[in-house]
Amino acid sequence: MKYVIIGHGKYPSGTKSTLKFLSGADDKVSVIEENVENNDYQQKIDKLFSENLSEPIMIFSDLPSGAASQYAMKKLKVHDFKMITGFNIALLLEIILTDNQGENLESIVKEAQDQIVYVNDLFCE
Amino acid sequence: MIRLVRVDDRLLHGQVSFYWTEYLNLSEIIIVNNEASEDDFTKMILDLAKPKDVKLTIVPIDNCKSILNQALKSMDNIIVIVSNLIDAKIIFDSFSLLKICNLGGLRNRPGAIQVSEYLYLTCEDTAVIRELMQREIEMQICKSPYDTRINIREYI
Repeated sequence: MKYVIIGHGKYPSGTKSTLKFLSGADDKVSVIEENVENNDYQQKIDKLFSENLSEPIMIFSDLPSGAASQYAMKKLKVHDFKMITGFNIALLLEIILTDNQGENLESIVKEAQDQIVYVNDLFCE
Repeated sequence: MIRLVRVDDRLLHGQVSFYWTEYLNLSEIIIVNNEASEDDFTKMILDLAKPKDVKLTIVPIDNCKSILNQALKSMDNIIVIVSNLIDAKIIFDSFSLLKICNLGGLRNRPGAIQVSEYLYLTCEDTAVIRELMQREIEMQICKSPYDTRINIREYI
């Protein structure tokens, strides 16, 4: 499974470094960044699909509204792959550490969403 | 009321979603684009990209007059988004009350010169811009409302 993180600025490569720090596992992960210097995300996403015809792909994007994210979403119409937007580190750790091949993604997403917690509420009586 | 017409070949994305909605207190975004209005998949993706409390309407350039007429009369803050200057000109031709054109993003294409990191203009583009400026339509060049504005007169 090829895991790809798409996002704005250095968030994707920063996330990859965090994954390496937390789990040692970042070699399965590649990144596509959308920023002022790199505005060729369309070519990179096209290349991702044209060069990986036999390997399954899972894409994570930072925000559903991002232009690169939307471009990747459009590929769902023509290619068979998995995509999750609005990822957090909890989600990526779960998927990459278990070498997830695309199964149970709805429940994994729910569990990752539950990792976003308003801490003050935990301490309110 | 329609606060401005934005030209952005990515239509609706992060910057428009967050910055412009907040800055103009938008209730509605109207995307006028033939390709987007004909494709349900694209509509779904754009709907995902829109800010939570903002209404998104997507209509073709060939059939946008009645929606835009309603928008002009509305008390709500609305922006219109098109993907190119040809469509922008069609809208400014039909609605003389519209006076602000925001050039928010046009990618590099054959024959285009770079004006900023997000704006590349061809000869056709600059011809349209000149014509709109002659009609005293304000050309705002900025991605987000908090960007420094670029003076288009330096480039055309």
